[in-house]
Amino acid sequence: MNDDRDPRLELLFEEAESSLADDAFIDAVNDSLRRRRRRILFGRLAILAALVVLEVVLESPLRLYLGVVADVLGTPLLPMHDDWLAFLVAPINSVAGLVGLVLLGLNMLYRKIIY
Amino acid sequence: MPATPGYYAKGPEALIVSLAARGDRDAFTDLVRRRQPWLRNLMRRCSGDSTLADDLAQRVFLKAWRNIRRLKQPDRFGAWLKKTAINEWIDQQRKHGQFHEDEFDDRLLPAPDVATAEAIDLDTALATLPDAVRLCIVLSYHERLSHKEIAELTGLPAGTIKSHIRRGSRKLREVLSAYGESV
Repeated sequence: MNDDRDPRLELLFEEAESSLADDAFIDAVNDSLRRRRRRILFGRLAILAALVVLEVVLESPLRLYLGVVADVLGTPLLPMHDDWLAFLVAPINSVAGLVGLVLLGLNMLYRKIIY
Repeated sequence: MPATPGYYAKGPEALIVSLAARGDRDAFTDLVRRRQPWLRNLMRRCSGDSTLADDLAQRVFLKAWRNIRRLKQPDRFGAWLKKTAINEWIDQQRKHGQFHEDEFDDRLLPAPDVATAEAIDLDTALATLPDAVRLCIVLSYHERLSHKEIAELTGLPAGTIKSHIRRGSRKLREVLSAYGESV
């Protein structure tokens, strides 16, 4: 592949390169990072507070929901009559296993696209 | 105890990247200090607007901080940051419906005029190019990337890149010579 560049344009690009004052820019980036950290912290606290309020107001619904979710996730995809075999393949022969595989696949796809 | 900036400045970049990936904010600040002139200049060449360029560069660094722990090869930080920056600029253009693939815009420049001849600069001339063409020109001349590397970075076909660079270079020469630049 021919990657020849026009030397006159190359020179123009080199001359256009300016040295930029850095302190104000670096401060701005650091401020943004601090604001972001604060936002995340407040967000997490707000979610936690909301969960506590829900737990108190709705009389322990969280435990109920967690129980339901655990039951659903533990449901086997294929019926197994041998208890030991069912126990051994449970990590993949369950809704949780399927969900895990899907999430793993999505994560790999995301990493392939982004990086 | 927080390390002084000089402490990080002496270290190899890959080591500083590894520290930043483990959550060391001072290490990340040092990466910003090292990379900001290059990144801001790249964004200036792409956007032609110094305020927007700084805003984009800032957003790129924020994304970098958010995702740096996922970077598996610390020595690839520069290339990774470049890809993040190019994606950020393309997203910005698309968000505003401005990512033009193939239309040269002669209206962006006033007619050649002796009074404005000295004011014309590279960024203004670059602004006359369609976005995809400008991107290829900037990556070729500013970043000195090969056509193959540009293809990997942008996802554009190699033939398109070659054509963009040829047409873009010709257009730049025309515009700049019309305004009295020594091209």
